[in-house]
Amino acid sequence: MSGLAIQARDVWKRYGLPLRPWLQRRIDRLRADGEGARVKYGPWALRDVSFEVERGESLGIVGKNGAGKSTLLKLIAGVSPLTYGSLQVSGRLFPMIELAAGIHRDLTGRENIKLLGAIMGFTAGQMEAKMPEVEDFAELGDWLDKPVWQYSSGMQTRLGFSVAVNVDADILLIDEVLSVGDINFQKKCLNRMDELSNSGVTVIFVTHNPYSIERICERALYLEGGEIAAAGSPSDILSAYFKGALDRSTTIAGKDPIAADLREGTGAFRIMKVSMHDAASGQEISSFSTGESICFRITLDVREPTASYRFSLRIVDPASTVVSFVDVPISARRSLALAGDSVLECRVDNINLLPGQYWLDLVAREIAGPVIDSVSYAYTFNILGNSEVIEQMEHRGIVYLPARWALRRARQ
Amino acid sequence: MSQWSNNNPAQNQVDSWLGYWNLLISLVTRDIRARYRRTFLGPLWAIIPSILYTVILSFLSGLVGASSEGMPRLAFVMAATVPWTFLQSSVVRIPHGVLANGTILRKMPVPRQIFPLVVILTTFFDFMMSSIVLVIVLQLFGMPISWAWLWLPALVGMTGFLAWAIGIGLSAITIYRRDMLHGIQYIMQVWLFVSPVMVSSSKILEDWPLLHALNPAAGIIDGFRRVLVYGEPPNAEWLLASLIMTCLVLAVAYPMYHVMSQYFADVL
Repeated sequence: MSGLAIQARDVWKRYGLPLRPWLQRRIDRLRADGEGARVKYGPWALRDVSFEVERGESLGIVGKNGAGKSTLLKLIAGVSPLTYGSLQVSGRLFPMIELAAGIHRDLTGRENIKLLGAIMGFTAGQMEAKMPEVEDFAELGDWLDKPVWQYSSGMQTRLGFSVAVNVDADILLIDEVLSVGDINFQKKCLNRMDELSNSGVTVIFVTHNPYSIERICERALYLEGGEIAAAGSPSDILSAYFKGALDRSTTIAGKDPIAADLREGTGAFRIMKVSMHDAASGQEISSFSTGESICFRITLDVREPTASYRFSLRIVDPASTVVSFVDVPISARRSLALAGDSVLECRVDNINLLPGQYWLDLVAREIAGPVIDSVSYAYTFNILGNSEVIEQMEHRGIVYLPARWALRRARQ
Repeated sequence: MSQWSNNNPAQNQVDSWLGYWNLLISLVTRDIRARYRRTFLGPLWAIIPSILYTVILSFLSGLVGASSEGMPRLAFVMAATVPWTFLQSSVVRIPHGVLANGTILRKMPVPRQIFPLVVILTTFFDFMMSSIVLVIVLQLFGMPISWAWLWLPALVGMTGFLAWAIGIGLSAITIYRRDMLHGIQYIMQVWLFVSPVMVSSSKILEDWPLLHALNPAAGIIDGFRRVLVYGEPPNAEWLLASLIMTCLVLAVAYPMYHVMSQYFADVL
């Protein structure tokens, strides 16, 4: 198979009912500022988007909320018309958006499978033939003869997904569907998608989880404000995506102490400041290189005597995955000795994380008791690569493994 | 480059007649099956509205002393009420039906024309059920089946056609502004009282001749009564007037639905 599956040229999309074409043309002429007019008379959900997807290719689309990802999928799916430009799609298309679309809660699972098939354009006979495969994939067993309103939301998704991946389509549009279902079902879905992708199906994959782009896609687009901000290999797009996500950082360093009082917890003490220091020199730093040793310094304002508690620190990556967790029990004897400004230091040696941005979550909890204070995204820091090789691995994973490779002929 | 393009790029997957028919049947079966599944009375609900309406309207008709032209009042009213209920529930349900299928509209490029049709066919099922009761009642009052009954398919067709024309117009508006979703029931109530359902056509003709001529339901409903109660063919002039009015409604509603339905996915 060769040729283009999708060709988008200068696609513009504005929501809302458009004026009749002749009227719009006349208004455009009156405004008479040509191309500038377009930008002005928005709001545009998509602006001047052009891209091509080859048959059998898999394209990832990332972007923040409201960047136009879902709009683009809707246009490709053909459920929503574009405002300007042209968009050609060739092949049988299956949008895996709104998996529950058309499912009727009062009908049984089996009745719903047939209905979903009909919505996709299959005849009753064709669906009958696919039934065993679908049932097999869904793993719903006897539940298939029960009405869907009795299903859990995960089971409903399974039903939708099972039909989706077992019908023949040339182009699959996938939007965030993997975020549901239990871990085993997710794995199964990912495997099935790998299979489909290898068998020549074109895949368009929209997600918030950046690592799955790297896993599934050959190429990716980064949408920002309805425009393509970057296009290229998944790893290039990932670093662009994370740079765009940086504004999420909220550190308590320098924050108003009143905010500390508004936080949940008993407030026997409050975390006032977090800083990071070079382990050897004690100098304050905001970034370090993979493999270096550093020290986190947490300033506490102790207001009441506390019994023994546990202080824990989580390192979180931009996708909110907990990368690591360290905690320390603090005995009553030690904690009772503190009052007013106090400092807790945590030294970590040889941090083997790949370059990128990370955050700290802090929690202090009495042993078998209530939370004293907790701050999410309390502090952010950057890890840099200490060599060009490591630099290239920015956000392509989490853990740095020093690897040694060998290639040779096997001895007989 | 600045060409205007309203085309939906994806090919319609339900492009063959077979696929369209299959989808239509599947959706109708879904709605008929699901509608009464979690009820105590079940499919009896298909006929209850017509029967209740008949009882209420016969009572009202007697109360105001309207003439039933020498015919048994119950049969006289019921012959008009059953088709009226078909018209009314189709019109009221079509916008709901389009809204309820919003998730499908947002996902697949299925033909947008299919959803009003699904509602009409579903209501048609109720109508057929009620018709059985109607025929039994007519037999009880000794009104025989006559050759005039051959008019019935045409009259039923015209009722469905009128319901469809109004329904798609209402849906097109409802998708954008929900007012008619709430208002339509009251409009239908008013329409009921100016149509020859509770009273005879001649009575309405006497009081409001223009209204009778402009009412697209008048000729059809009167036709049902003539055929079923009197065993006569419908009044051809009135029927033609109804047909012309229906076509006028459609001339506005169809282009509106056709253009607006493309954008349903944007606003649903």
